[in-house]
Amino acid sequence: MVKETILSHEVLRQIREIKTVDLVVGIPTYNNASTVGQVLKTISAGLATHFSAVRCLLVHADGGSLDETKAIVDHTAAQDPNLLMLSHLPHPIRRMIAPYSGSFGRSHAIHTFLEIADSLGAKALVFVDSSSQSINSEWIALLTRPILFEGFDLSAPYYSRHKYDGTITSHLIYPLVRALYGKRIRQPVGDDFAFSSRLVAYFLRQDIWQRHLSQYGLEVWMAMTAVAEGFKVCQSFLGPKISARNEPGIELSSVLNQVVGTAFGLMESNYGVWSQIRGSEPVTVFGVPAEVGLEPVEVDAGRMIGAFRQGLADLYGVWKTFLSQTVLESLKKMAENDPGAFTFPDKLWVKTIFEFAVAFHKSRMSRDHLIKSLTPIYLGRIASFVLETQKSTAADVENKVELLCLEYENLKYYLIERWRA
Amino acid sequence: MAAGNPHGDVAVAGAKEANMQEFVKAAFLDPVHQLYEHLVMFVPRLLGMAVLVLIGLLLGWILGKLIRKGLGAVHFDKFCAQIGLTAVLERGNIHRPGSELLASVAYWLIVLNFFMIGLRTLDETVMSLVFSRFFAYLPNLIIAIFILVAGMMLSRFIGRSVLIGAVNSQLPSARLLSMGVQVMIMIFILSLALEQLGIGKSTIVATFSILFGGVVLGLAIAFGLGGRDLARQFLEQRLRRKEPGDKDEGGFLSHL
Repeated sequence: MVKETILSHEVLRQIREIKTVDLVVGIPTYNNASTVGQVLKTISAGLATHFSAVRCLLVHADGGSLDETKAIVDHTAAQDPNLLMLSHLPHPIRRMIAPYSGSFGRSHAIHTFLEIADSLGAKALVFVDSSSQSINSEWIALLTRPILFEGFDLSAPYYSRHKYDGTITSHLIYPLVRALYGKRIRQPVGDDFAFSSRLVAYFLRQDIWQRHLSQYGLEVWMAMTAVAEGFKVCQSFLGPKISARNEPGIELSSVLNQVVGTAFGLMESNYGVWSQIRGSEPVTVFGVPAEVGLEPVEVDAGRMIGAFRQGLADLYGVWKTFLSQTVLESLKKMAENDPGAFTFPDKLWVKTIFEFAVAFHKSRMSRDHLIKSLTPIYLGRIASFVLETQKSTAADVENKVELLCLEYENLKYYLIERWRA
Repeated sequence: MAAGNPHGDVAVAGAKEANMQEFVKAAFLDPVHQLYEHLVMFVPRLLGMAVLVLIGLLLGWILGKLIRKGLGAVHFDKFCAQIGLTAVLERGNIHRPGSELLASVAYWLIVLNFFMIGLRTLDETVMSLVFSRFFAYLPNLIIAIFILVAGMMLSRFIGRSVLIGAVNSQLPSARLLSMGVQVMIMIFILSLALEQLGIGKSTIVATFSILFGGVVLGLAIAFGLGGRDLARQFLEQRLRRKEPGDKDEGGFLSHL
């Protein structure tokens, strides 16, 4: 029987020629002219330093960049002395170009990497963010070693981030994934991951690739699926993460819709797994997590409180259809406080998220509307967090996140009760 | 004193009696007979109609039961809640699940149809006219109801999309904007439904065109006069090449 594939004839021809490799490095690009050159050089240096005896394949997939990205990739590959040096290694790095379409075709690019890695029998697949400004030559090693030499199936990134950076992850996705599946994966929504051949094959067997998987939802899907299916998961400490994204402006509500929608969707299919799990356990971390100096992040708590209040005034009728009276009353009381005394308690936030998850499960309204209506509540929560942690250090903030996670775990019974009702 | 004619008197009396009998027959017996004949004709028809109505009631009940069970098995009520039909019905003061409602509609359609067929058995000539008109109009009525219900759902869905989008963009008067969109859609839907029913076709189309055109023109003028600076700023932002150091769209939320 002929195996169905999304790979082009040209890519298949190259695969037949290459036959087999140990490691595939995927680099999806879309308008990354300012960073892709450096990213390529760094990856090449990392491979030369750490995997000189390993047969590697570098796959570049461009989503139809409108800037100089493709030219820079070709130029870097041809001109960079490090890349030339690599050609003299026992197993020279080979390059392959597999185009995909648009920034929203990122899932198609990842699918392409998975198919190439699977076809070549690669022991590991790693893909890195081409908009990264903070990548260093250690990243590839940190992500890939646990897969190649330690028997792990998924190596998730663990970045140092500013206390106000990545709040969807720290207030929603990380605690939710941890409470549901009992694994403390700090960055389930990252841009740099590594997979084992076993996990690659498993991902390829899923029907998710026939559907449109949103840009931000894919990473959550991969991380949550891996933990739910019992694959061995670890984290690799990569240091600070600074990106220069050049994608069209995307609204916060759309990001929430993609990330939270994917997480809630997986809760439905994995109910049998997560409903049995209580508490959580740490996940092995490779590298040494350390506090590093990070660029300050601008926040405007006052404007976020304004957004929350407007949401309460205008979306009350929408929320009333699925949120409990207790939660609604508490949200109302919160809005009455002065901006200086504005607080969004952990318990209320967790109950709100769980009630949204249940409403999503019970299809109380269009799922798109449901999650997008979460935006003002989320902004209220972040405003409260910003006000509470203005003078806190990164460690203090991490402690606060830990307390929030425990609240998610403690209130899991509330989620299960409402889910079953 | 002249002597009378006894034969003549008898004849007159006989004639009078015959007249009386004729009168009685014409005045009482014939109508009673006719009534009897009509009754003899009518009662079986009435009974036939009663039987038809009873069959209609029975079939309606069976069909209603089947619909309720079938829709229950495919979780139709959950689907109705998901697409917003339940909320639309509740807003129209109909507090019944979608499956129950569909079963009722099917029940009453069957009963009404059998009742109409029954009426036709009573008087062929008059009722057949009413009958044919009723059945000719019935599809229009059903389509109009469908347009109204689907339109209400659509207006509610789009209204909510606008509301959530406007709130998330922090536009002032988000609710007013959402309500405006819903009203516009409902006016359009109402005109479609009335046109389907054939009520005031030309008047409705003209009224809708004037109203819709007026609102659009009003909005265009309002935006043009009131939002000149905003439009210029928007176009500048869109068309100007991005310089290094320019802030991303979304500004204060970009870190989230």
